[in-house]
Amino acid sequence: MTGNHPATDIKDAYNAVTLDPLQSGDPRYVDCSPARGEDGDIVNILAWRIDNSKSPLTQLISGHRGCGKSTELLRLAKYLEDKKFLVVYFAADEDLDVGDLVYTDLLVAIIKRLERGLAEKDIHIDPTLMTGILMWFADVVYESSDEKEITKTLATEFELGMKAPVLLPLIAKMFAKITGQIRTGQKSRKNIREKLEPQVYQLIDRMNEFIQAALPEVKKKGFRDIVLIIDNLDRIVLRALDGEAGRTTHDALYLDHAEQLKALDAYMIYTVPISMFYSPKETQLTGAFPNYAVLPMIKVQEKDGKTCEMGLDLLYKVAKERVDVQHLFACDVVKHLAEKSGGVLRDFVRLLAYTLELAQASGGKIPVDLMIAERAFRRLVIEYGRMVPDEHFDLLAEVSRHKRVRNDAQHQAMLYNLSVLEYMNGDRWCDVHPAVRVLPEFKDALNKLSKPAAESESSG
Amino acid sequence: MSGQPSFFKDEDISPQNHDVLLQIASLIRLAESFRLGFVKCNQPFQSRQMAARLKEMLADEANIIIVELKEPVSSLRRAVLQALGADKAGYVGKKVVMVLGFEHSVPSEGSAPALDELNQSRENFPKSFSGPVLIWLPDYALTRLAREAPDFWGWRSGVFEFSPELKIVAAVENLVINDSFPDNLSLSEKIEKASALEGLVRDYKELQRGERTDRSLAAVLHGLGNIRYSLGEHNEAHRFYHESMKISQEIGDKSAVSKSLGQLGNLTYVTGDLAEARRLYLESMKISQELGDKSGVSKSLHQLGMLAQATGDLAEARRLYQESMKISQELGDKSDVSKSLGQLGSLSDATGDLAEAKRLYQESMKISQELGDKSGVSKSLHQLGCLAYVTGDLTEARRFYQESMKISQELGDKSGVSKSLHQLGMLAQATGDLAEARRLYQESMKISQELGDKSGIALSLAQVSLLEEKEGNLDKALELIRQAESLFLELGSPVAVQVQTDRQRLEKKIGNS
Repeated sequence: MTGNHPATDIKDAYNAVTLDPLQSGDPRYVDCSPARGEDGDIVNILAWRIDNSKSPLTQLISGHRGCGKSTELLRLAKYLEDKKFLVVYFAADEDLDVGDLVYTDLLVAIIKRLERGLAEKDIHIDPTLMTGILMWFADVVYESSDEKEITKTLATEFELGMKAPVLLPLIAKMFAKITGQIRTGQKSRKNIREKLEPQVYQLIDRMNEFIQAALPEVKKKGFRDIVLIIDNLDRIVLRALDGEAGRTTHDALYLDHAEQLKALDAYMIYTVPISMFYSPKETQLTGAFPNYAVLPMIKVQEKDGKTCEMGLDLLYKVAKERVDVQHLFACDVVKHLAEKSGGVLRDFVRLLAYTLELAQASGGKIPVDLMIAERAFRRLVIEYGRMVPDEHFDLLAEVSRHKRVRNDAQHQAMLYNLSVLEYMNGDRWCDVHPAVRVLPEFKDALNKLSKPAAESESSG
Repeated sequence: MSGQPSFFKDEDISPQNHDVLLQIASLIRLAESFRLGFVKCNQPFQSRQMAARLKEMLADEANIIIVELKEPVSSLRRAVLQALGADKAGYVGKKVVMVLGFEHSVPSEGSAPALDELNQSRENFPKSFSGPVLIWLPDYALTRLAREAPDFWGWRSGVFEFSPELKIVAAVENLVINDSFPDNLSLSEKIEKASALEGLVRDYKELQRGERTDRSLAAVLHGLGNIRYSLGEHNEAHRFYHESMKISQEIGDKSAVSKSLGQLGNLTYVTGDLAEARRLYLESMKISQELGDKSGVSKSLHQLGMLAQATGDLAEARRLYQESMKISQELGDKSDVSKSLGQLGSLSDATGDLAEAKRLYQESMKISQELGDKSGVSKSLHQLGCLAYVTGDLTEARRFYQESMKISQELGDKSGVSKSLHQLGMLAQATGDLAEARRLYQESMKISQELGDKSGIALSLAQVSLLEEKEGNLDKALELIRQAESLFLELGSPVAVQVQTDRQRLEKKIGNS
């Protein structure tokens, strides 16, 4: 809406600071990787591996909520397209129920998206092979081997009020039908899974047949290879599973079925919940997927507490691309907010919006001064106060002292809710979010920690 | 308890809350597309008031639609869309949706699937809503949402927190505490009242503590206990009575302690620990006597009468009911008189004086009708039904049972519904429709199990046993009657004797076959 003409009045500015990820090629994009530390430029890291691998490769990418992961992945997609890769990017939660997802659901969603991605590029595959794949699904999922009947059912189902265009090829209708049933119907979901699970190797074979048949056509169009980027898969709900103690939905997908996720003949990039990298199963995960990258936070301070000017400057630029900073904000206000955001892009943008809204509430007073900035920050503090459970404060005090987290469930939760942020320079290190650091409970815990053990109540 | 309270005026809004209103108004004025906002407000009355105030403030600038959810939903987005569907005409200009009542889907403890669903649905919100969506929640529910739906919470564009308003607190206190027949409310009114009371409890906890607030808090907790009790949520009720009693003890409010003890006694009575119930009733009565609280004494006497009746000591029961009724008459407490009459009727019923029973039931019902006490009417109808059944007038019995059940359903009185179902089962059995009888017993038993009502369970088991016997499944019948017998024995119920003969008869039959 505002393009790269930064907004000058409060209302335009407020609407320019939204939390949605930027699409690739958005002129407002600011490359923050220099302030993310050595491993900060994940676009480069992931793309380099693809560029330099002779055979298909599966990679994992992870990062904190709201740290700019989707923006970076969309940028990666664009970058690879420029390098002549055929890229299929999709958000897992659009096709799948992340509250209840198993790996066969994901595989079906992948082939559905792949088929559409190829069709969009006008790439068509040998019809006999397509029919073969279609009938395989018809046979396994719907126990039907009558081609005419399947053709007829799919045709009528899609004419009768389904949203998909009628012109969709049969196989696309079939995939849409299966993913639709997996996504919405409790009973049909269970039924389809029971049928696909025992046939998973055949399913993967069919998918690879499809990819192998597509590749010559893909290359004819001038593409080097196929890359699939699956975003938002890290939103799958963490739940304990029955049976083996300590096993979760995350383990089931990424550890138990790592081989299946890696079995496709295409370059794959899956998003993974960051908490997995802080769980006791981290070595198992990185063993199964040696090619991974974790997007660190934008550093707004160094490990020793000194401010990191580079990070503040980059965040200032993020603001400047959206709003007329000099007109709307008093000197230093934006950098002050950048510091208080802890480098969490989403919190930074949120703080900008809060200041504009508070300025509006006090009669539209601009430029926004430090007092309003402080009020905006107080709001963020109260919000974090709500998120952090009491039992975390002692641990948070420890984190702030040692700049490290342990690989256990509570520290995973702290990284997950952003009360602990992870940065990078040379080494990974952690610190407590600035909004948490000023909470009275945190200060108490810190005081308790700095008292000599003999005086503390819980000595011994 | 119904409608929008008009006791709160604009100038009553505290400056602090006025500021919050202005901030929300700013968000609405500024936002041109979807934004997610949260509003913390403990008291549903206050939420309604503030939402209405915003609507008024911004009447020329935005089209604010207020959606109030009245019961738990599995998907907030779908529920809101559904509610909006009925209101499509109002879609002009900037649309702002305020959602109230989502706390019904967020219990204070236990799992909250609606939060899991919400956590995954952020992507769909901007597709469904073109303007700001503000979700109003009490403190505890907002905290749960922040922790358990972090992906959704992560997209917030503002959290606005209203503080309790003393005037609203006082007005709601008056509305909810002075309620003559809490049992009389319909199910939805009970739920509404419960959430108003829960809002009060949270407001008290945020306000400065003092003896006045403590006294009110205890009363409100007791009221919450009563509602939960009448809805058959016995564990919840127990928790509230206990919490209330603890506060009353701290501030030395003996009369309130006595009331709590009486209600705890009732809860214990239902679950069958009669000795403990007796202890609680006696303790409650002792306090009432010390305080010279005749009404309290009368209530305790009535409860002790019920205990005596349950253990088969009918003479003692009659004496206690009559003593209780005498006090109630002196005090002019018609409602309690009606209760005594009903119980005296059931004693006559038990001793075979059916004409006298009928007279007493009818007299009791008449008083309830005069008082508008629906719950009392329902009970009398049930008893009249039982009487008609005994005298063989099955059509009349069915009419009474169905009428009684209808009222119980309206009132959300599960225990009453369960009893009616059981009796309707007996009717079906008497007319030979065994399949229907079985269905009704099982439905009744399911409710009794939910309520932890052992006596209800045992009655159903005994009846189903008879059905099994009739169908020739003797082993199954024996197993059921044994279960029933052990429950009745546990309860010290006189019915145990009859069940015992049934069991022996069955054992003999199996031995002979």
